[in-house]
This record gives sequence, C-alpha cells and structure tokens, in this order.
Amino acid sequence: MIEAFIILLPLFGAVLIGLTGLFAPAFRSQKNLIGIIASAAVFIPFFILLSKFLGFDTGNIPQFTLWNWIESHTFQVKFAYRLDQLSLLMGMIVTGIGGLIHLYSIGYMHKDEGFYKYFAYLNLFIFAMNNLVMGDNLVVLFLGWEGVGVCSYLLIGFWYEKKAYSQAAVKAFVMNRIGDFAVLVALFMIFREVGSLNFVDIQQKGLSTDIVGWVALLLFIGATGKSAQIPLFTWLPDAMAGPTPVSALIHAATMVTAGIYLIAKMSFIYVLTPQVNLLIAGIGAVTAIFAASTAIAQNDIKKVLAYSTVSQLGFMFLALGAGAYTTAIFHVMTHAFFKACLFLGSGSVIHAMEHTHAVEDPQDIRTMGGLARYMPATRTTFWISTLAIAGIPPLAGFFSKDEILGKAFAAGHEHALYYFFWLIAIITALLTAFYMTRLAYLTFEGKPRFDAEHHPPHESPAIMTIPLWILAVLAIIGGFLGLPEGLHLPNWIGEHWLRPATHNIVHHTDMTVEIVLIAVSVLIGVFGVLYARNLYRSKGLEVDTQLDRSFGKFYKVWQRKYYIDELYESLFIEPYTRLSRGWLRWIEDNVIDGAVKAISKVIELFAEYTRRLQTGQVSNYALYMVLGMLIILSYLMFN
Amino acid sequence: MENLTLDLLQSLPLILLLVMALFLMIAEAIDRKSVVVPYIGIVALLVSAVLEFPFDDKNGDMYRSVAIYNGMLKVRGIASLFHVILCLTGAFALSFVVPYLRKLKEFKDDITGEITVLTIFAVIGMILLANANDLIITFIGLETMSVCLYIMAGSLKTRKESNEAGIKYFLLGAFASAFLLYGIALIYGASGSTNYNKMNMALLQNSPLFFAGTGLILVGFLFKISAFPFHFWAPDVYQGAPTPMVGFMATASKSASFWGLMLFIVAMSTVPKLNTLLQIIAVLTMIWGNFMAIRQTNLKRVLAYSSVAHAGYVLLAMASHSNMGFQAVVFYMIAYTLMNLATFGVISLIEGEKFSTNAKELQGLYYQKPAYAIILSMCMLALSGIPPFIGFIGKYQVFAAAIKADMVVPAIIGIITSVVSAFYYLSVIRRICFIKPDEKYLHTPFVADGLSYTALGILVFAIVVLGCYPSPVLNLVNKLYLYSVAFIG
Repeated sequence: MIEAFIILLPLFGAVLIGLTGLFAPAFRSQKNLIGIIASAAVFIPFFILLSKFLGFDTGNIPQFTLWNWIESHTFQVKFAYRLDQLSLLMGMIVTGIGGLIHLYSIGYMHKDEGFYKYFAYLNLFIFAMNNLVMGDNLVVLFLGWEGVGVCSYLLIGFWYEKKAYSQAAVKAFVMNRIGDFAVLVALFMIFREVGSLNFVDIQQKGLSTDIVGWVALLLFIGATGKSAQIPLFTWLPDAMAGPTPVSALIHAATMVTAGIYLIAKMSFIYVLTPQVNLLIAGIGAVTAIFAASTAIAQNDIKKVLAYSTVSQLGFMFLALGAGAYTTAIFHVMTHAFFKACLFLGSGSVIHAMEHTHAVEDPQDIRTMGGLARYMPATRTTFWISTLAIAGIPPLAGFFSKDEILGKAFAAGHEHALYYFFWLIAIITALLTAFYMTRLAYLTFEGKPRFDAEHHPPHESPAIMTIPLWILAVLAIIGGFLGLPEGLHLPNWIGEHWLRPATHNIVHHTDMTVEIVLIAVSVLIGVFGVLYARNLYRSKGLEVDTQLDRSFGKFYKVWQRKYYIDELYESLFIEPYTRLSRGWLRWIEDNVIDGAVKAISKVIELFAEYTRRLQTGQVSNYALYMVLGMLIILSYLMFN
Repeated sequence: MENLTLDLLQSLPLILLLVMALFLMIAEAIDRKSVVVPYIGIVALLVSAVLEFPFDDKNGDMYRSVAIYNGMLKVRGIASLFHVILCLTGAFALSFVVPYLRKLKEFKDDITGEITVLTIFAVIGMILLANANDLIITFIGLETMSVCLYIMAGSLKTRKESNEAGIKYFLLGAFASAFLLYGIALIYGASGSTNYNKMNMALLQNSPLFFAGTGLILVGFLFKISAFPFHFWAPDVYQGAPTPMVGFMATASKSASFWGLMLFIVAMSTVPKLNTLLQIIAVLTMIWGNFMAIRQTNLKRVLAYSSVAHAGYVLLAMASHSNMGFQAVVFYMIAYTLMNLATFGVISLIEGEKFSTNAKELQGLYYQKPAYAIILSMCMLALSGIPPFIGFIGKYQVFAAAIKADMVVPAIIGIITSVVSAFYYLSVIRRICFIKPDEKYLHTPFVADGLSYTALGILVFAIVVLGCYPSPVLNLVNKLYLYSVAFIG
C-alpha cells in the first residue's frame, strides 16, 4: 500500500501546514520547516513513482483503492487509482517538476506574509492533480479536475488585496466552470449509456454511435477550458497575476495540460470521431498562431510566456486532432521542462528587478536589458530553454514539435485540411522562434535600459538556480526519449512506453517526405532565431516601432490581443449586466425577493405569536402537558 | 443460583459503574476538595464502555440481545451499543465539566466531585432505561436518571438561573413521571404483566385501559425527549443549567429515552393509530422547534429549540415503524449526540464569567479565538445537516426511512422545516465569524485544559470522518439492530 502515499502525502502536507499555520501563528515564521515539509510531501511521491516506473511490469500494473466513496446498488464510486503508463508518466511530471518548483518557491516566496498558506495551497494542488492523472474512474478524475481549478483560483488570487488579481482569479474560475459543465454533461451521458464511469468499463462496453460524437465534443469543450484554447483561453494570460512559480507549475507545466491528458486518456472514443478530431486540430492550429502573433507584441515578460503557453498547447491539440496522442503527451513532457524553466527564469528576473527598485514595473522587458552580466545562471538556462522551445536540434522541443508537424502532415492523407493546419503550424513555429528570441534578447542582452550602475541586480540564491539548472538539463536531453521514427530511429516514448495505454491513429509517410519535413522545421527554427537576434542586436527596441509601422493595423490588433476580451465584454458581459440591471432586477426585487420576504414575514409572525405561550411559568407548562395528554388519550381511545 | 451468577457476569460493566459511583461518593464525602474524582469517574466510564464493547465474534452470539434477571434487563447486542455510547457521552461531558467549574470563582473544584458521582448514577439510569425489557425497569431507569439531572441542572447553588432551571425541570419532570407510572399501572391492569415479552398475549383484548396506559407512558417519554407539546421546559432549563450539564442531558438522556421509547413502541406494535399519532407529533415538533428557534437571541435557547426539532426528525423515523426507521433512530441519536456534545463543549469553554450566551457576547468570536469559532461553525453546519458532516447522514437516513414508509407529506414538511433551520444555524455562524466583536465583551476568559481539548478534538474528528465515511457505524448499527431488535418485534 505504499502507493497510497502518492495520493495522501500531499494532502497530508496541505492539511498539516494549513491548519497548523492557521491555529499557531508561531508556526508561520518557521519558513524553512514549512518549505521542507511541503517539498518532502511532493518529492516522496515522486520517488515512489520513480521506483514504480523503474520496476514497471506491463502484466502487473500497480493499482490501489483507498475506500469506497459512494455505494448504492446501481452506482459505485471508489477512490481507486491505476498507474498505467500514461498516468505514471504524467504523475512523474507533476510530482517531479512540482517538487522542483516547491524548492524554488522557498527562495522566491521567502519574504511573503502568506508563506504557509502558499505552500498549503501548492500541496493541495499536487494532491488534486494526482487525483486527476491517476484516478481509475471519471469521477475521481473530475474531482481532481475541479480540485486543480480551485487551487488555481486560490493561487491566482493569492495577493487578493489587489482588485485586479482577485478579478483575474474569478475570471479563471468562471471560464473553467463553463468547460467543467460540458465535462459533467459528458459524464452523465457516459453513465447513462454504460452504467459505470470506470475507464475499463467504458472502454469494454463502448459508446453507441449516437452519442459518441457528443461525448467527444463535450469532453473537448471541457479541455478547451482547462487547457486555454479558443474560445475559453482568455483567463490564462490574466492568470499571470499569481506568484511566478505558480505560473510555472500550474499555468504552464501541469494543470493546463489536463485537457490534453483527458483526451489522450479517452483516446479510445476519439478514434471513432473523425469530425471532432478535425475540429480539435483546427482549434489547436488557430489557437497556436493566434497566441504566437499576440506574443510578438507583448512587453510583459510573463504575458509573453503566457501566450507562448497558449500557443504550445495549441500545438498539442493539433497533435491530438491528428490522432497522435502519444506525440501530444510527449510534447506535454518536453514543454513542461522548458516552459517551467522559462517561467522560473522569468521569476528569477522579476525577483532581481524588484530588488533593484530601479524600475516601476519589474516585468516590463522594455526597461530591462543587459541582465546577462548580473545573472549568468538565469541567463544561460533561459537561453537553453528558449532554443528548446524554438525547435533548435538537438534540444527537447525540436523532437516533440517536429513530431507534431510530421503527424499533422501525415494526417493530410485523411483530410486535406490537415495540410492547411500543418502550414499554420509551420508559420507558428517561425513566429515562436522569433518572439522567444526577442524576449530573451531584450531581457538579457544589449545594454541595460535601467540604472544598473547604482542599482545592480543580483543573481538569485542557489535554491532558485538549482531547479533552473535541472530543468535546463532536462530541456536539453528530454527529447532523446522520442527520436523521429520516420528516420527509423527508436521513438522510445511513443512506440514503446505509451503505446499500450493510448490508441494512436496511424498514418504512414515515406522517408523522403519525412526528411524534407524535418529539414523545413530545422531551417524555420534556426532562421527565426538568427533573424530575431540580428534584428534586435542592431536596432534594439526600435524594432518594435518598426514592426508597428510596417504591419500597421495588424500590430495594433496583436497588441490588443485581437480584442477578444473586449469582444466577450460586449457580447456576454454587457448585455448580461444590462439585462440584470433592467427588468431582471425588477423581477428579483418584487417577485423572488417579494415571495421570500412574504414567507419570512409569515414565519416571524407565527413565531411572534407562539412564543407568547412560552411564559416561563411552570403552571402554564403543566397545563399544556395536560392538554396534550388529553388529546393523545382521546385520540387513542375513541374514534 | 447458576443463573444468577451468569446474570451478574453479564451485567458486570454495569455493576462496575455502580460500585465506582458508590466508591466515589464516599471518597468525595471524605475529601470534598479532591480533584482526582472526576478523572477516576472518566476512567470508570471508559473502562465500562470497553468491557461492554460489542466485539466481533464468529457465531454472531454477541450481536444477539438476551434478557437477564428473569427477563428484566437486556444485555449484549444492541444493548451493548447503547451502553457504550451512554458511557462515552458521560465521559465526554465530564471532561468539559472540570474546566467549566474551575472558571466559576465561587465553585472552583468544590462541586466537581458531586457532579461526577451524579453523572455516573445518571448514566446507570440511562443504561437501564435504554435496555429495559420490563416497564418497571424503564421507570427505575428513568427516575434514577431524572433525579440526577434535576440536581445537576440546579447545581450552581448561588446562581439564580441555575436554581430556576433545576426547580422547573424537577416540577415538570415529576409531573411527567407520574403520568408514566400511572400508565404502567394501567398496562399492568390490562395485560397482567409489565414485561415486554409476557405482555403480548394480552394485547389482543383491545381493552380501553390498555390504550390509556399506552398513551400515558407515551406522554412520559415525550416529555423526556422534549416533543411538542411537552417541550416547554427545555428552553428555560437549557438556558439556566450549567452548559456542560446541558450538553449531557441534551444528548445522553435524550438518546436513552429515545431508545427506551423505541423498545416500547416495538413491543406495542399492535396498537392501532400509534404510528399516525407519532407522525402528527413529529410534524408538529419539527415545525414548532425550528420556527421558534428563529426568534431566539440566546445561543443556548436556540440549541434548545434545535434539540426539539431534532426530536421531531427522530420521531418521524420512529413513526415509519420499519426496520429502516428504527435503525435510523439509533444512528441519528449517535450522530446527534456527537454533534451536540461538541457544540455544548465549545460553548462551555468560551462561555464567559458573566455566565451568558447572548448573541452579542459571542459576536466576532472568530477574531478572538478562530479555532473555537471554526469548530462551532462546523457544529452548526453538522446540526443543519450539511455534508460532509455526520448530521447529513443522519438526516438522510431519517427522511429515506420516512419516504420508504410512504410518509411523503411528513417527510416533505420535515425537509422544509430543516431548510428553515439552516437560517438560524447559519446566522450563528454569521454572528461569530463575520461580525466584528463588541468592544465590551472583548476580554472574555477562555479556560480549557488538555482533557477538554482532547475530547473536543475527538468529537470534531468523529463528526467529520463519520460524515465522510459512515459505513462502519452504519453497518454496526444495522447488524446489531437486525440481530437484537428485529427478533423481538
């Protein structure tokens, strides 16, 4: 039963830290102790998972049940977990990167008042996420799904004194709820059809053709909410209001990939729904280019990374839509490495800029520059990850992104639209290389655009840079787990590890095409990086004004994020508030409230009159008893 | 002679309590200031509970109740469960008594010894009442219990409110006991026996004496469980009596009475219209208790009416007259006991020197003692039947049993009144958590010791854990019930 600790330890950590911190103020200042407890509660599960991984036996997949939660004769829900290949991999990503980010947070949050609260939430998040990726039925998955939503809400609004931050938290929560509703409906449909919500039962019994498309679509809608795809993506950039390590863990590496996990886990139904797959691929491709173009025009270091995350998630959905589920998960993994590294690096930068007190906004890259001299470790790791995300071989991002492009192209056999999606993805890859290089260059290279002489920034402490290095190393070597199979190289993760757990739709391409595709994607990546570097090296910030001039209206649109927030505002929020201020308000006041008030008036009157019976006089009470007795006796004795 | 030895052995845990109570009474008389008496009392109660605990055994012998002493008293099976719970309730109540009395200047440790002895005697009475197989034992148990409770209610001799509570409780209680005794006499006259097992033959005679007797006994029980219209004593007594003792009488005496009543009703199952009568009383009690609680400003009065309302829910389950209903009665009283012990425990710890639980004084408790405020809020949520607390499971059982028995309208009324109850429970939470404290009452003393902390912790733990995972207790109750009661009825 050692597996139970994987689930229970993070919960235990959250409860212990949360309650002790709440009731014993002295405990709150024991920051190192809190940090150690919280990190151990994540690292121990990681090592248990690692041992399960090393001793993995396909014939004997570890599974365990904590207890029966709901028992009625037709419906049973157990807190049951199953560590198949997919869950094990996701679990290791969650706890491994989660652990590193816990360590990093000890340094990053050290001066914060709510230190204990932060770690309690973070542990709670790991608990929920573990439920999500390891649950053996859709109910446990959904509990985790909602649980990570709550933790995300709590952590985005962690500095809730700022109104904008708590609004961002509410926005994230509400948008997620829209998607969650779709997931719930899908669960109900599955239960009606199958009579069970266990993955095994669903897979064995199968869904009828009438509803399989609907279920697939509804689950996908849920995935767009959690994984920030069009149309439910606007919460993610705002979610950067939370502490930066949270952005790294929740809003880049783990939680936002839950949608991808859900679809990969349910891949056995998506195999049957080619139309839905086309939609998924389309949404993914459009989201990818859309977010990438927005990222070019952003100046907030975290906003750029946020849009980059949305864009990369789009890539993953493109892979899912092309039926390459293992590829999507592979990209989840490599993306977790380099994006976590990038976010933590940006956190390190923000941390340093804040302490210089030289600039107003420590996140604005226009007032940075030249940080390379002061923060060598942050700079090196940041550049490694930038190159990885840009798709420069042999870094991790290259292999996974290339595989996605290849699979999308191969799916063109099935439907010509996939070729178009592939084209979009190629352009997006170019944009990615460009804006990421811009970000890294403007932040670290060139001359400082702030008063660096009087306020020199400092490199972060070792507890923050060590996780950076580990992640950077992973961003370098992570890709070798999935070498391109088209070149007859061993694709361990896709072909060997994940194959038994997911059901890829296989499209064949021949080797020459494969080689051309790889060459194109390498060229695109290298060109993008070099072009951006040369441009920004020679002209610096002027490039942006130049872009503004040459692209004109387009650039404005990018800067304003395609006016999506404004669109939603005028499409949903405005009419809604107007409606509720107008006659809905009248109904509320007069009909609903009126009825409620009338009822409460009646009750109050009743209580007012009856309480007069409660005189305090014993003789009165005795009289009531006698009356009561007489009524009872006459009732029993006579008709 | 052999029989007697066996019977004595079977009732050993009860005898242990008796011996300990007598011993402590003498000890307390010798050294009135002794502080160890309550602790010995708690240990005695716990030991008695452990000795009686319904251990698992393969033949299921332990699950089956048997009547000993010539069919007077039941032991084993569900009787053991009642014994254990009543002993534990006494122990929990005592652990709140010590710090409570210590903070009252004019008492300190002076009367803790008496209270301990009275508590143990009361527990003995309750066990007799709950496990009686003969109406005479019912009466003896009820009286033993009641006399102790009267004294406990009035034990703070220098306080006016306490005296008032004691005397009111005593007068009305004596009145109710008279009804009960008269009812027993009539039943004896009609059926020639007071023993549940021997009465059944005579029941067919349909004599009016018998119905009158049933009605009178019912009145006696309804007084103890504070059902409408026999509940008027409850708010006055709850308000005036010392809080930990209120916690004890609200939980243990009610549980024992309900379980005693259950055995009585199972035995009287041939009386027509009894279920309809219980239904009507249940509905009236639920409405009355919940609606009256709304207007109260004193927390203890709120809880008094709340306990009236809860009695209504349990009566509803009782009226369903099914195995499911009676199981719900047993489980609900366990849940109710846990919730109310915790509630009154917290109140007794936070209650100030002024000896008042007015709303104004409890206001903003969260800002002074967040832990107590949170525990009290949890108790309120549990009492109003909101998951994941144990109150929800209890309420679910009750209403499910009612609906199974085709009592849909009473069940709906019950659910509506329980929505009404959420109003006053939540307004307690609002008051203690969301309103800033009143300056005048900022420095109320908080006195607690390790024992009361532990007791409170265990209770809260049980409320939450059994709310999430009730199956062990539910299964135990169902099994014991099926083995013990279902055979008789």
